[in-house]
Amino acid sequence: MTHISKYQLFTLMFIFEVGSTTLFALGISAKQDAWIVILAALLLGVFIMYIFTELQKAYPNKNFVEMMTSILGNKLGMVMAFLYVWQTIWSNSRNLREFGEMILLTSLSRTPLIVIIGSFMILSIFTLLKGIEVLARVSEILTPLLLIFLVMVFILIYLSGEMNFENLRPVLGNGLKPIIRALPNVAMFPFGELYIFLMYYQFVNEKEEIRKIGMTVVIVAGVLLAITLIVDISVLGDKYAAIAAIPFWEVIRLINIREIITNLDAIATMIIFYGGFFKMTVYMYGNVLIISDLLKNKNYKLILILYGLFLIYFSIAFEPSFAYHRWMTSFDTNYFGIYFTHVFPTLMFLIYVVKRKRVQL
Amino acid sequence: MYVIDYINNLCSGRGPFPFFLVISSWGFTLVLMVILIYHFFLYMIGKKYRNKKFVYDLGRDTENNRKEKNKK
Repeated sequence: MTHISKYQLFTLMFIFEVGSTTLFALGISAKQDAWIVILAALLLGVFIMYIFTELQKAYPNKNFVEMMTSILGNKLGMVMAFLYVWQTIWSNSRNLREFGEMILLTSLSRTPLIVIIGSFMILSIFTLLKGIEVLARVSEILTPLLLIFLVMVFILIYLSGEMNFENLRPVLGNGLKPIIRALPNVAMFPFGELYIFLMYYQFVNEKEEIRKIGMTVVIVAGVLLAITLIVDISVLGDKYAAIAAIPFWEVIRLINIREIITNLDAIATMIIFYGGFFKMTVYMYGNVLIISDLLKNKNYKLILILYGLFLIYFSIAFEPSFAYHRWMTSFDTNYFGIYFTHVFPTLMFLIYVVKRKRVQL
Repeated sequence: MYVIDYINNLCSGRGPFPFFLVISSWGFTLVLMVILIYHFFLYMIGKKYRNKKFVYDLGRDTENNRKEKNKK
């Protein structure tokens, strides 16, 4: 039986949240107010985490698929699980592609994408074949490193004298409309994506602590992302932050303290890559569990390998370039992503509540 | 060759696959809304729910059940 401790759940969730978000200037369509979008999305994140944990409390020893079949019935629950498989494949391959492109852009510009993505996938499959506990234990070691690195970047860029807080003004200069328009995007990515952990909660030793951990992760990650956005915009300005391929990486390249502490981008690439690895692997394991449940197959290892191979093909075939990838983000989140992350779990929870009330009549 | 081109088109950016996700997510939202309204209506008219699997899952020792029992 698989077991993960509450600290391991925290580190997995935290690294998952911060994972690929450092690659993008989230909510930048609201220009200099992008950091306000993150804070507003944080509130929605707290709300959806409440829904997720209510579902978990109702079914402490069941996973997401079993919750669906219990609440909606076998047939409809299976249909819903099937849709979640495809949505998760989509998010998973986007994630894989993002990090492949990041390595291509920053370090290995002459290496074919398939080699980068293939080696990334081999590492993920190897880790997951050893079991989720291994991934959880590695996350325990790497999360403090990621956290220290992020804080160190904030301090070093400030000491380099590159930050100009005037770039953040005027606050709410364009009113509330751009913030509201950018909100669904950020609410779904990264906060809503935590739905995949509904497949993990059954493994946690101390189940009564899950809500506390989830809320802490959402708040800490949200605040950290808001600070990252403030740093991005104050250093690059909202216009350049919006068009830069990887804004946070551009910021790190500007760190220069008396020509001694400089050229940190190689270390940055490596550490940002850790985040991507965890996010991709957590998604992958969650989705493989959903597929195994759907197929009633307890041996997930074969599914894992086949899924990994499919993902390598799919992540390359579904998008021609990174520019296209970024352009597609708002389409994905607004047209279907938000339904899977917020609408379905909320409706499912409401149906559960009404059914429970009917049983008690 | 034709098959590979067909699969590539199926998976590509704004091709049939995301279209399927959009239609299915909107459609399923509608289905869930109808189910919710249906159950709410039955609750309002006082019709008891007797699904064995749901009742069995509900009767297990969950945190919500413990709270309900404590309230009683």
